[in-house]
This record gives sequence, structure tokens and C-alpha cells, in this order.
Amino acid sequence: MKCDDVDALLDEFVDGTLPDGDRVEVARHLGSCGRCRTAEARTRALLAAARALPRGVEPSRDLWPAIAARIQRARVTHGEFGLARARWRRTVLAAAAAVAAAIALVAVLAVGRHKPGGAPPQAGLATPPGATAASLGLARAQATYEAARVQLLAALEARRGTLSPETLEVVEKNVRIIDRAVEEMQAALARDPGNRDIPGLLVTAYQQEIDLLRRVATLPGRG
Amino acid sequence: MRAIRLLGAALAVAAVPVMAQQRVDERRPASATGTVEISNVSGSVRITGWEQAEVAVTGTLGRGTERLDFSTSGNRTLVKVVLPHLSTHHVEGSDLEIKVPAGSSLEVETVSADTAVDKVLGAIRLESVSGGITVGGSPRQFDATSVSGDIEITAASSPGSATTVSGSVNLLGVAGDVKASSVSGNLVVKGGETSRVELETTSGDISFNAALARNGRLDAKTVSGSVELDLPAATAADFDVTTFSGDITNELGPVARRTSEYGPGKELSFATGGGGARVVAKSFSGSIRLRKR
Amino acid sequence: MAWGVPVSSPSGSERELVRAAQDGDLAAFESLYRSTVRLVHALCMRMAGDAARAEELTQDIFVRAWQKLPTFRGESAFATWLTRLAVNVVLSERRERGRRDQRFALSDDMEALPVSAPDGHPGTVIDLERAIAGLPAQARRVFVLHDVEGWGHAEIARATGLAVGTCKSHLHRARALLREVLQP
Repeated sequence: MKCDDVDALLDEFVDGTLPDGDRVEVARHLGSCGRCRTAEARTRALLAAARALPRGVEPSRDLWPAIAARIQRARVTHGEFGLARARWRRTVLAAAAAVAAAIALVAVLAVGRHKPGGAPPQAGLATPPGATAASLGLARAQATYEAARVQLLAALEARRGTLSPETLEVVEKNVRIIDRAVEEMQAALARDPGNRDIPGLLVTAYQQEIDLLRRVATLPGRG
Repeated sequence: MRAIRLLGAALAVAAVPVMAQQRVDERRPASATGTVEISNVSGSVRITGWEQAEVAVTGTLGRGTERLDFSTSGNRTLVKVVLPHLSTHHVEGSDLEIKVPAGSSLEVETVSADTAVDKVLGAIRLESVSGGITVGGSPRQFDATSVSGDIEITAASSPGSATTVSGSVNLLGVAGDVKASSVSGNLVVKGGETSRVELETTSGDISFNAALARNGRLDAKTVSGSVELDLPAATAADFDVTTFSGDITNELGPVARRTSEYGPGKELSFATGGGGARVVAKSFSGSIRLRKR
Repeated sequence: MAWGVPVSSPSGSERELVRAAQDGDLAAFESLYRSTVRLVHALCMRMAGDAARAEELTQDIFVRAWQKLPTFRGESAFATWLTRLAVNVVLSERRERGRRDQRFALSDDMEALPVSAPDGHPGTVIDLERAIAGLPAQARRVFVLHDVEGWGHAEIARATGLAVGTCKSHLHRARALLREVLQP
């Protein structure tokens, strides 16, 4: 047997999965070939090192809070609300009205956007002057978004039976995409509160989610 | 004996659920600049503008359809495929070819039916859930919305907006004021010269390959999608590009610099050709590429 | 089958925790999380080769585990079931990302491995974890599943969707590259 052949069979030899005939041939070659013996020894050393790797590695921070938060949100989407289907129409209309107000509020509070007339002009507020005013506005936008979201998810849940499974799947998947994006951005903003670009992206994400849920809540049935 | 009510000039094409496919061939006079409202749950809808002052509907109603409502009231025309409330059998989609006066405005609503509109000059509003939407010609403006259906607009100089959840949006040869938004669908703007473009996604990719008018504005925003802007080398614009943790590649000018030595953020502010138009591209984690056409 | 993790049914108290969690008890699920997160995180780190993504993936895995918990019937230890789920999540996330990244057309084989020891001296011991992280993506995944987690080729082929022969050649490549980098 030549070195190239042994090289091809070395993995299985070391793993003990070679059929007897080949195994004997390889062992014989190794008996007289220093180069291949070195490769074998190194492979065995590598496997021993791999087996000796620590079974577990601690993450750099506690991941449980984020996991619990996602599970709580998913609970709402997957319907532990249990609204009776008969009440969905009223719920949808109420939610839609609440959201219309919410969106107007969010647009007003949104960092860097045009304010409709009425808000007292403040010096230097055309672009966010610093962390404080912007983060206060953002916090209120977030609270509005969270409240609207819960109502709309409940409305969506109530009409689960009147939407096609494909549509529901698309909706749920995309709500999760936005939720994930919101979480990442909120986490980044928490680590870097002075960042001036994330608030705008966050508000866009809030609006996208609210728009999505509102449209779905009022979709024609049997979608 | 219950009185049978006739709504306006309504004329039911079939009074009982259609047990077999049924052909349709009907026309009604219509205002040259009226509104046509069309509703079809599944199947297809193809709308074409023509010179006649009439709305003509041809095509086939699917098995199980209850009836076609085709009526006019004032300067509004309604074309609606009506399905039974409770269907014990599978209801088939209906395929409709609808000719409308070229100056009409349109309001179209489908669930899974594909919609195609061409040669209509009024304002068009198209909504679908999973059906595709295609628009050609030069409507005064367009407003297309879907959940998972793909949207394609090939409208020479029309302003408008296209919104999806997961469907893709292709805006070809548009000018004027356009807005496209999706959560996870990709947005593509190609050709033409645009004056104001707003593109927004959460995870969908954004691709812009067109020219910008002298005082135009391009806004591209995404959380985790990639952004690729292909602009003519002679573009005169001010650029403002930022990303929180993505990469920025720039063929039109300087290299992006880090916003701080502690964070991953990058930003890029520069001007080409003396400035004029404005390009703003922002991402959270998506990559941004500025390329020469 | 993994070394060091007993192939047995869940212990009495683990069984109770699982049952409580299946009934919606989030605190019980947290206990299960505390006892298995290091295991899952190590697997993610090694399969993904990237610490930040490993933490994201770990979260995804536990959220998915919560959703799929009703399908766990105690036929193996909880950690074994969880490991399998973890591998599926890591591999399918990679497939999703791969579709979106198609534009950049980097095939896995083109990713480079820093072959020599950091300062070029033979005989320097390189941290095995770092060396694994530097492997080309597919080779790294197969190596981690086979030589770290102890999976057989058939199982790996099933999970990754690759042919058994392809898995074996990825393993061969991984071992060859790691051998170069690790000096005895």
C-alpha cells in the first residue's frame, strides 16, 4: 500500500471503522513508514484534544432575560389570549382606532421627522440635540407601539380561523423578523444610548409592524 | 314572498352558485373619468384601458361562484365576483378580462388573484394578499399593497407607493415620487430618472440602479437587509451613509470611517460632482454598497 | 450520541421540570435552561465559529425548544433532545443566511484558514477552539459534529443534507488542516 492510499484511509483507520482487510494493510504500512506514522499520531492527538474540549462554555452574559421576553411575545402571537371569534369585529375596529391614534403619535414623537403643526418649536430640535429629549420621545413611541401591538395581536388571534394558513405563516414569520430587529436595535441602543441613527430605524420598525398587523386585522376573510 | 331588491342597475349574471365554469361577456356604459371598483378573491384580473366609454367584462367565473355583480351608480362601476358565504365544495377562481375607459381610476381588491393593469391613466389602488400585482402604462399615481404577492410597476413617470410584507417589489422606469416598503421582501428600483425615492425594509435587500434628478432625494433604510445603490458616475449629490454594525463599500468616493473606536458603527459623508441631490442610506446591521454604473 | 452525556431517560427531577415546562411553567423551563445553556452555547460557538452569532443562536434554540417542548416524550435525556434541536437550528439558520448572501457568491470552500502558527514558529500550541473557528464553514460543522459531539456520518449526512461521502471528505479536510495548525 502506498502513502497516498493510506492517507485516504487514515480517517477510518483511526476511527476504527475500516474493514479488517484494509485495516491490516494500513497497520502494516504504518509499521515501516515514519511519515504516515506521524500523520496517524497527529490525528490521534487531534481527536484526543477534541474530546478533551470543555463540554460547556459560558456565554458572555445571561441570555435568559432575552429568551423569556421572546417567549412571552410568542405566547401572544400563538394565541394564549383565547378571544372568542364572535367578538373579533369589535376588537378589530377598536384596535384600528387605537392604532390610528398611535401612528399619529408615533410620527410626532419620531426622531428627526416633520411635526404636524401644533408642537411648540424648540431650539435645535429639528435634529436631535442630544440623548435626553430624543430618548424621552423614543420611550413614549415605544410604549405606544407596545400597547398597540398587544391589541392588534389579540385581534389577529381572534380571527385566526378566517385567514389562510399560508397568510398566517407569512404574517407570523414577518412579525418575528421585525420583533427580532426591534430587540437587536433596542439592545444596541441600550449599550450606546447616544447613538442618533438607531432611534429613527426603531421607529420605522415600529410603524412597519403596526402597519402589518393593522392591515392583516382588516384583511378580507378566507385569505 | 320576499321582495327581490335590485340595486341600481344591477343585473345578476347567475342567480344560483355556478356548478360549472361559466363564461362572462357583459358591458355597461361608464364615465370617461369615473372609478371602477373590482373585487375578485382568486383567479386573475387583467385590466386594460381603452377608448370606449364603457366597461366590458369577459372571462370565466370559476365553479362554485355565486354570481358576478356588475353595476354602475353615478360615475362608479362595480365588478365583483361574489362567493357563497359557506362553501361546501371547493370554489374555483375566476379569470376576468376587464376593459375600462382609459381615464378611469381603479380600486382593485383580491386575495390570491393576480392583478395586471395597463393603459389606465387615472389613480390606481391595488390590494392583494398573495396575488401578484403588475402595473404598466402611465397612471396618474399608483398605490399597490400586498402581503406575500410580488409587485412589479413599469410606469413611465408615475408617482406612487408599493408595500408588501414578504413579496418583492420591482419598480422599473419610474420617475417622480416613489415609495416602496417591505418587511422581508426585496426592493428593486431600476432605470428612469427619479426625483424622490424612499425605500424601507426590515430584512429585505434594497437595490437602486437608476439616475437621480438634479435636486432629487434617495432614502434607503433597512435593519438587516443589504443596500446596493448603483449610480451614474456623473451624479451630483451629497451622500450620508451610516450603519450600526454593517459594512460600507464605496466606489464613488472616500472610504467609510468608524463612528467611534469603541463601537462597530461606520459612517460616510461626502459629495460628488459638487453636490445637489441627496442620498441617505442607513442600516442597522445590513451592508451598504455604493457603486458606479 | 455524544460522549459524556448519558443516553438515558431524564432523571426524576428533570422529568418533573420538563413536564411542568410543557404545561407552561416558565420558571421550570428556566431551570432547564440553566442546566443546559453552557452545553448549547459551546455547540453553537464551535459550529458557527463566531461568538456573537453563538449567543444569538443560543437564544433562538431555547425559544424554539420552548415551542417544540410538547414533542419531547422523554425517549432520551433532555440534553440529548436539546442538542439535536440545536444542531437543526444552527444548520437551518445557515441555510437561510446562505440564500440571502447568494449575491456575494462565496462558496464555503473559499473561506481561508490561517494555516501557520501565529508567530510562524513550529511547536507553538494553538488554541484548538480558535483553530476550529478558522476552518472553512462546512468542514468546521462536520468536524464539530463528528469529532467533538460524537455523531456518526449517517446522522451528520441526514442533518446537513449532504451525501455521506461529502461529509467524509469535509472531515478529512478539517482533520488535515487542524493537524497542520496544531503541533504536538
